[in-house]
Amino acid sequence: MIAADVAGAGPAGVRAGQGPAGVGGEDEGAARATVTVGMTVALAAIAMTFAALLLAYAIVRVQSPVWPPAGELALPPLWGLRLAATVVAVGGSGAMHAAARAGRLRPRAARPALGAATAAGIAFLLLQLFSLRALGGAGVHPASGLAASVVYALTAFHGLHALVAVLLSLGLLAARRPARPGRLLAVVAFWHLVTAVWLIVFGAVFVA
Amino acid sequence: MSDEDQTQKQPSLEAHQTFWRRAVFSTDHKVIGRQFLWLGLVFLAVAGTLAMLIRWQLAHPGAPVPVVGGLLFPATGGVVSPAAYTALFTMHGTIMIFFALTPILIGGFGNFCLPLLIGARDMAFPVLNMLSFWTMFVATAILTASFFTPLGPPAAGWTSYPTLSTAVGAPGVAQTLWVLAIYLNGASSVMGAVNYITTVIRFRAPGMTFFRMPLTVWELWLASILNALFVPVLAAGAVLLFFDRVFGTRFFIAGSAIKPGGDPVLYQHLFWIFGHPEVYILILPAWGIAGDLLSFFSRKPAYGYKVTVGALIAIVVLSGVVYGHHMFVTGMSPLLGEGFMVLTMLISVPSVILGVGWLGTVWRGSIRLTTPMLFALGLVTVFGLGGFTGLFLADVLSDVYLHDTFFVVGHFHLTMSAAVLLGAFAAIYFWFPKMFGRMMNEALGKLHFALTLVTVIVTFGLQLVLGYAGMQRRLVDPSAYAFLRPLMPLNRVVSQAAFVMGAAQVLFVVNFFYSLFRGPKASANPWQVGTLDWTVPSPPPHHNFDDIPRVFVGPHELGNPAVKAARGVDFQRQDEEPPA
Amino acid sequence: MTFAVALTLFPALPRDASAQGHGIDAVLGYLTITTAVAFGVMLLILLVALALHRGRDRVAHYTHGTRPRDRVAAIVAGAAVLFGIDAVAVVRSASALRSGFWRYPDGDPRAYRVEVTAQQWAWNFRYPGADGVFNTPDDVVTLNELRVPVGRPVYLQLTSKDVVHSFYLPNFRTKIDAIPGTVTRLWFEPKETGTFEIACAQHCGAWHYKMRAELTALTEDELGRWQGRAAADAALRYDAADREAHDGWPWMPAP
Repeated sequence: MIAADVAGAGPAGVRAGQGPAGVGGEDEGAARATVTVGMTVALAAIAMTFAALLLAYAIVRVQSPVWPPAGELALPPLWGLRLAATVVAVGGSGAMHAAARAGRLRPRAARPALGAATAAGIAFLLLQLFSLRALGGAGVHPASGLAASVVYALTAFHGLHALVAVLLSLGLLAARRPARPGRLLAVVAFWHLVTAVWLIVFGAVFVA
Repeated sequence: MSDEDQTQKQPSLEAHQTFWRRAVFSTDHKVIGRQFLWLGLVFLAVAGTLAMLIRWQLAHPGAPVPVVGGLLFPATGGVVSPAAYTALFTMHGTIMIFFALTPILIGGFGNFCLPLLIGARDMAFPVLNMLSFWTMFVATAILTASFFTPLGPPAAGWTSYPTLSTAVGAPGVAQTLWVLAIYLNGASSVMGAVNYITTVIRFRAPGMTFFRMPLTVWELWLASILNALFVPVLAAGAVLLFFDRVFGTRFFIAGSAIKPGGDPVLYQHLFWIFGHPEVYILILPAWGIAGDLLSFFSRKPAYGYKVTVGALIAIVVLSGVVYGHHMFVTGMSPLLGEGFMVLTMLISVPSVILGVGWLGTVWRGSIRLTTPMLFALGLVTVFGLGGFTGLFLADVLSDVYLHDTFFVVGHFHLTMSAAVLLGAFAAIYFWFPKMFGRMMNEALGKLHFALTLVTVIVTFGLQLVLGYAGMQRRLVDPSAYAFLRPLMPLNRVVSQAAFVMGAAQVLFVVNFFYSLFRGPKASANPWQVGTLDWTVPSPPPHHNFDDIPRVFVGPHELGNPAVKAARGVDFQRQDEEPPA
Repeated sequence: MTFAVALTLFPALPRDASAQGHGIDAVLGYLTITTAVAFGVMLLILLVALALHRGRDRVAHYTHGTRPRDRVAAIVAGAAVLFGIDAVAVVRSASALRSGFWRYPDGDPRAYRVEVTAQQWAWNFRYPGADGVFNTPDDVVTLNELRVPVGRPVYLQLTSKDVVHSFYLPNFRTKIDAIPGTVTRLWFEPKETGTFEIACAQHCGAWHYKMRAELTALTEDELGRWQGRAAADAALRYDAADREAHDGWPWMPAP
């Protein structure tokens, strides 16, 4: 309806529209597409933060003739804890993937997989905390040097994002009404980003 | 893909009933836009006041500040101490960029106008939108708190270079609060970017193709892309600086023979990878508003709309690869130096194209010198002056001499004041009727414009001269150097112009508040233009559009003789079919 | 208006005491004149439009600016700035930089070497002394006094003890940052005797504005006499136990 009247815009008052988007059908597909666009931007932004941190790591590493730099304590590799954390992270992503697939059919069907992923996430956080404590126990503190700084900063900052991911999935689990279509996908996508970043950090900082 | 596939059906939701949900924790983009505008305007006044104090000290070094000196600087009898001065220019810059310009242009006008301009009922993610305002609010609160810490406010410059900004140079808690405030401010910007980018992609009204969007929308969208990609890099720098300050990591602490360390210049890389796109984030909305207003008030279409969009995209792409020109004197290799020099110089080409577009729009128009038009013309003029001075800084040879002098200060104040002092005012005078349902006073507006334009050009133009003469930045008292003593009279002239500039803003404040309560009621389309925001009442109802419009033509369809013949008006609404 | 702008700006440059400064001044002058002309043209078109094309009684000329002549206008304007300003400036500057700012006198036996250590808020200058080697007992260390010969390249290596500073010589049109943990380099050649100011050009704390030193350019004879007196002083002052005072470094080779 186009108002021919140039000065006004038609009848005033609140129009009852089509109501909230229901489950299934065209509206839900459109809503999911919107969330996909938004999540892509959000994930790109978060990825850029980690990319910049990894760039900083790359710069200090390349500028240093040896790594860890001369005069710094060698860092205990803590392979057991780190590999366990990596396995748990990948497992959590796998569970999230299952949750996404199940949730496509019926929102409630996603719950078991969501629960498994959340448990994996909590396990990841605990393993990371243990690894930081182990570092401290070995006398390596953030101020110990550049290599230690990198490990602490990247582990902690990544851990904060993992914590947010766990909180978001707990939020999904605790919600009584079924989540709107995009929300589960948004959380799953974020979760996968957190796992992917961990894999890159693991490779770049601990393996290399 | 049909138009219905491209956009979501948008339900008209009931307006909130309680005061809390309606006016404070609202998810309505119009309310959030006004909240950002208020926050930005208040802090524009704060940062402006800090500037007046800076100018007082530069004009009369060591003299007590009149009237308010005793209140602000009790320990020194009203005199601006060196520590206080460094805090003044730090907070002036920080607040102007992050807590005034950004909230006004992007948070304020971006939020209010974007859905209306594209024919949407609200942003894609209204709750995220509300969160972005409150995150900005918390960031602002933290920055305000940093003024009142025991060792004094942050004082490492708005750029906060280590090692001055690490525990080495800034031991107090204020600098840490600064880092937190910047981080949260950035988070707010990224949330906004997610919303704006998604809304433009998904919620354009049927028929609103990308090339039928007003230039304001294009520029908000492009600025949001830059925000989403580059603010996170600042966040990374902030995170590392935070860790250095609080946990003792050594990213930016320089190494020594005894203890190897990091690299203070690393911060500069991270900061400027963000920092250069940031200046384009700040100017893009102003350019967009100017592009639209010049068309509206010349009563003819924007000249070379598609070429303008192409130039904007070129600038956005280039802005990501020129950051090194802020670091030419850090010992950069000649190869990198030449590379950054050439790339930076290249930005002048699309910028000239923008200029051709603005001039071509007004040329042979039927120019109406309303207050918004005057500010748009002023923006274009001041940006032209400031933009050309950028060439001096892009060239490594001249930059080696001019770096960290007042030439740089003049350059960025001309370009940034074009954005905020002229662009924001253009936007306010233009959209005030739509936002608040009343018209601002034209006579006061024109006087405000004239005083602001002249004082901006004098204040910042003369700073170019000061820099040319070699005066460095961030000097508490330039007369400490013999070669600068002859420049003190010029400093006084700059300060006098600045004081007049500050005083002239009172005209705006009076006009704004008077018009808010007593201004003549505004019709839906007082400016007689065709974009979708002017097809709804002033102010718009909660749901914006009774029915989502269908768009048939571009945003600048003015002066078409066929329209004039068919309808008797010289403009075509975007939601009207063009005459056969 | 453009000439007035140029004329007011030129006398404002500090006295040029360097052998290379004229190249920089030439580029500054070129950029000033060309950008003033470009801005003047822009302003002229705008003012003419405002004068001639204003008012409700005028009928606006309906065009989207997509005709061939409009494309030509954009191309001409862009090309004028690209080739008339940018390209000329880049070529002239690159050539001056490669033969100047970036061409360190590394192999030059005539180069006069000094190590500069910046600190909050003063400049320390270390001269190698008769043995030509830094951080040896015969080094001369001065506070805020840089004495250099006329007619020879002066080659500086710089660092900082604390925060980033910037070593700025207005009369030699040059500057370089002094960064803690790094050694940066700068060179210049004085062409006349005299005393000139050294300024700090990077915000380094509350007393940044007082971080002033003096550069004195001397004839070889005068310099020789000063070096003799300074060497005697240094010998008296040398304290092997004061490790902090031995903050020189072996002269860094060219990278």
